[in-house]
Amino acid sequence: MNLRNTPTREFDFILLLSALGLTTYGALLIYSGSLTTYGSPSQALSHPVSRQIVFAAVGLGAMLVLSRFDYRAFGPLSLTLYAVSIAALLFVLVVGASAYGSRRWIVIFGTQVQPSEIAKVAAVIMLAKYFSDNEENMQSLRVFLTSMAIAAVPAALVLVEPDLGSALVFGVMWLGMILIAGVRPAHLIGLFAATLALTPLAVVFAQNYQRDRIDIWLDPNKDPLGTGFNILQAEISIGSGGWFGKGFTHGSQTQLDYLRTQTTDYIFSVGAEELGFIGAMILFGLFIALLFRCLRVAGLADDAFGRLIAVGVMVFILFQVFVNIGVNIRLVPVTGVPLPLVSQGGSSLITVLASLGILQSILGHRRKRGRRI
Amino acid sequence: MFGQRGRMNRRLWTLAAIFALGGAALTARIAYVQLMHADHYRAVANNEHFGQQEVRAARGAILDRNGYPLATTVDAFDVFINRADWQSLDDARKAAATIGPLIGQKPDDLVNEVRKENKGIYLAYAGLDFAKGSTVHNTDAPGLRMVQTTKRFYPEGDLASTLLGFVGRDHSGLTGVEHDFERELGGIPGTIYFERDSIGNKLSLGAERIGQEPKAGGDIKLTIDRYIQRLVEGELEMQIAKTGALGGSIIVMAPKTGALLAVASNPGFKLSQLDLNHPDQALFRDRAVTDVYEPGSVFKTLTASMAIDLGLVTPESTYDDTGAAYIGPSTIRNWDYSVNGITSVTQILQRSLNTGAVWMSGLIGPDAFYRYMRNFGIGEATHVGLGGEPDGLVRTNTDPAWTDVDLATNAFGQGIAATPLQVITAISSIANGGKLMRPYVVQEMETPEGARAFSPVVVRQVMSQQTAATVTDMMNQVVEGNPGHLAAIKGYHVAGKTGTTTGATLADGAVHDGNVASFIGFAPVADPKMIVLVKLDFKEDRLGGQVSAPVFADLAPSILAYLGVKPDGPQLVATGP
Repeated sequence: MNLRNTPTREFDFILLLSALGLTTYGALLIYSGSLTTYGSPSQALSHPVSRQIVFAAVGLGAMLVLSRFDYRAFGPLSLTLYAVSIAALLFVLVVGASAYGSRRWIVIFGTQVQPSEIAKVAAVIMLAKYFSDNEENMQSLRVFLTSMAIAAVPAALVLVEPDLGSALVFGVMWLGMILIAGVRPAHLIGLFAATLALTPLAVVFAQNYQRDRIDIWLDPNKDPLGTGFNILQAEISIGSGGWFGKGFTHGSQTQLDYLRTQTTDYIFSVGAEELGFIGAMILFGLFIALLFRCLRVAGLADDAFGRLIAVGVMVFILFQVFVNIGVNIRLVPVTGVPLPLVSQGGSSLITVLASLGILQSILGHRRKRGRRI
Repeated sequence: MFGQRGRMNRRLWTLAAIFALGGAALTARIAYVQLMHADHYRAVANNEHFGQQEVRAARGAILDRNGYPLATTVDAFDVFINRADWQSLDDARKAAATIGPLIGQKPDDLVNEVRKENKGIYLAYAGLDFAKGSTVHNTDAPGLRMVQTTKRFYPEGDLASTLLGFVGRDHSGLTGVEHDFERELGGIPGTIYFERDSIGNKLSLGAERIGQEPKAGGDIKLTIDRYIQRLVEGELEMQIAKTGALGGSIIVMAPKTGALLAVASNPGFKLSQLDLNHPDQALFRDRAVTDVYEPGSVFKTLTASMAIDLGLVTPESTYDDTGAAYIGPSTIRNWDYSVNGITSVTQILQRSLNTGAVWMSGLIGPDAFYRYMRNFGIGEATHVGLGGEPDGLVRTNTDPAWTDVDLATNAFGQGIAATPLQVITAISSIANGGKLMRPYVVQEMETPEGARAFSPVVVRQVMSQQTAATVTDMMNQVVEGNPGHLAAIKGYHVAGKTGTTTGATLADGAVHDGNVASFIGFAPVADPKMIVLVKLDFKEDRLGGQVSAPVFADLAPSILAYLGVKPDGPQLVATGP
C-alpha cells in the first residue's frame, strides 16, 4: 500500500461540491435577479449567467491546475506575488475605472478585473510565508508588527479606492492567521487597547460619507428613498420572503426592481425573498460545509505554511460571507463586499475557486499520511 | 509533538467557534426579520408594489329649474409633455408643431418653455376639447401624452357664476353650489390598485384589481330659472353702466314658496375667464347671500306690519309730523327734512317718513319690536343651504350697549345689517299672507342615498293674514298712490318700497362713502307671484326711488309675462284722452 498521498487520491470532493453548490446557487439567483434587465434569449452570450458560468469554468480550471501544483512552490514566489498585487492596487488607483464613486477595477481585454481580490490571496500567501519562516519568533513584537504591516499595505490601498469592506477583510485575515500562528496575547490586547483609544479619533476623522452610512444603517427610514433605500428594500425583501419564499423568479421585490445591485451586493436578499428562510439556511449549510472542509485542510496540513494558507483562505471567504449577509439583513453598516462564490463577478469567483485549489494542493502534497480531524 | 497538535486543533476550533458565533448572529437576525416579522414586511412590500390610483367619479350636473344644464362635465384631454423626450430639438419641434396650434401656443415658445428643464413632466394644457384632442390622441409625436380627463362645461356661459361657483383642478367644488353640494355632485371616487415598479410606474402587464367602482355624482336641480337669471344679469349690468353704480345685487324670489328664481351680483367673475389670482377675491363670493348691508327704509314695511298686527294703528291712524323726533339727546329728521303735519300710516310709507317710523316703534316698544324682528328672520341666517351665509347684525334691547336710539333708527332700517337674501325673505312674508318661508335654491337632487326633492318650508306665521293684506295694500299705495312712481308698470298692480342708506358696502367688504339705493317690490298685488329686491351701490348720493325702482319696472313685466301671470291691472292699454 502506497503511504504517500497523491493529489488525485486526496482531492477533496466535498470541498469541490460545496463550492460548486454555492456557485450554482449563485448562478440561479443571478438568473432571477437579471430577469428585469435580460429578458430575451438573444442576449444569451452577454447574459450575466453565461458570463458567470464562464468565470466558474475558468475558476474550476485554476482549482484543478493548482491542486496538482505543489503549494510549497508559492513560498519563494510569495514576495513577488505580493509585490505584483501591490503594484496592481497602485495601478488601479491611477487608471482604474470608477463606479459608484470609487476606483476598484482595471479593464483587461474588455473584462473588469478587481486587483483587490487577487491581492487578498497574495497577502494570505505572503503572511503564511512570513509566519512560517518566523515560527520560532512568534512571540516577538517585531514579527507582530511586520506581519501587521504586510496586511496593512494592501488594506490601506483598497481603503483609498475607497473600499472599506475589502480593507477590513485584510485586517481580519491577518488577525485570524496570527491567532493560528501563535500570537502573544499581550500583543493582541495592546492592539485592542490602541484601537479603542484611537476610536474617538476615527470618529472625528471619519469621512462624512462613512458617518452618514452609520447613521443610515441605524435608521434607514431617515432617507427611505435615498441612501436608506437599498437597506430598507433588502430588509423588506428578506422579511417578506417568510419561511418558504415567494418562489424562484417570483420575488416581487426583485422582479419589480425594488432591490438594487441584486446580483452582487444584495444577492442574498434575492435568495431570501424567493427561497425564504429555508433557502437561506441551505446557503448557510453550504458555507458551513465549506468552513469545515477548510478547517480540515488546516488540521491536516503538513506544515505551518500550508496550514496558515488554509486558515487565511477560510477567514477571507467566511468573513466576507458574514459582512455581506450582515449588510443584507442590516446587522452591519453598508460595505460593498461580495458574497463569495455566489455574487456575480469574475474576479472574486475565480480568486476564491483558485484559492480552494491551493487548499486541494495542500491536501494532496502531504508527505506523510495525516490524521483526519 | 502530540501536545502541539492538540494546541493547534484548539486554536482552529476557537476560530471555528468565532465563525459559528457570527453565523448564529446572522441566523438570529434572519429569523427575526423573516420568521417573526414576515407579515409586517409582506405588508410593506405589498404597499410598495401596489400603487393606488383614484378613479374620478363623473361629476353631477347643475340644472336650472326646467332641467337646462348650467354646469356639466364633458370629456377632455390634459396635454402633458415629457421633457426628457424633447431634449432632441428636432423631436421637440416636430411635436410642438403638432400640438402648439391646438392649445393656442406658438410652437417655438412651447419648445423653449419645455426645454428649460431636462426631465419631468410639463403640463402644457388642461382640459383641451375632446374633439381637438382626439385628432392628436394617437399620434407618435415624441413626448406628447394626451391624458383623457373631464372638464366642467357651462352651456349657459358665465350665467349665475357666483351662485354656481367653480371647481378646482381636482374637480372638487371650491365655491358656490359646486362647493356647498360637493357631496352630492362629486360622487364617490373609485380606486384601482396596480402593480408598480420601484419608480412607481404602472406595469403594463402587472396585476390590476379594482378596489372600488367609482360612483357617479348626482345632478342638482336648482330653483333658478335660466331665463330670469339672464334677464336679471343683463339688466343689472346695463343699469350699472347707465347709472354709474359701483355694483349691485338683484334677487328674484317666488314669495309663496321661497324658491329663488334668480340671484345676481355685479361685479362678479366669469366662469369662462376664471382668474384665481384676481386681486379682489370677494368677487368669487355670492354677495347677495354672504354680504350684509343697512337695508334702510324698506324696513318701514316691517315696522308698519308690527304696529298693525299688534292693533296699535290702522292705515288711517295719524300722528303729527313736526319734522323731527327727539330720542334722548338725538334728533331724527325726515330724509328730505320735510314737515308734514297730520299724517296717516299709509302716508308714512308713501313719503317714507322717518319720524313716522320712530312714532310707530314707540308704540310697539322694544320687546315686541325685536320679537317681531326675530320672527321676520332678521338676525338669523335664512338656512338657504348656501355657504357663507351670516346671521346679520342686530342689537336688541337685551344687549347692554343698546339704547332707545337703536330702536328708533332700526324702525327705518338703520343701525341694523342684513343680507339682501334676509331682506327679501322677511318682506316676502307680507306678500305671502304673513307666512315666512325658508328660501331655497335646490329643488331636487340625487344624493348617494337616493333622490331628494325639496318642498317649501313655512318657518312661521309672522303676522296675521289680515295684517299682511293690509300692509300689501299700503305698499301698493306706495307705488300706485304716488303718481309717476318709477316702479309702476303697465298691466300689473305692484306693491313696493324704496330704501336709501348711506355707506355702501362694496365687494371688498369695506363700507365706503356713498349710499345704497334699493327697491323691493312684488306683483301682482292680489296674488303675488314674484318678489324682486334691487340693490345698487353708489359712490355719490342716489335715491332708491330714482335709480332702483326703474330697474324693478324694467324687470317685472318680462318676468311676470314669462311666468305666465295674467295681467290684473287696468293700465295695460293706454286709456288716456
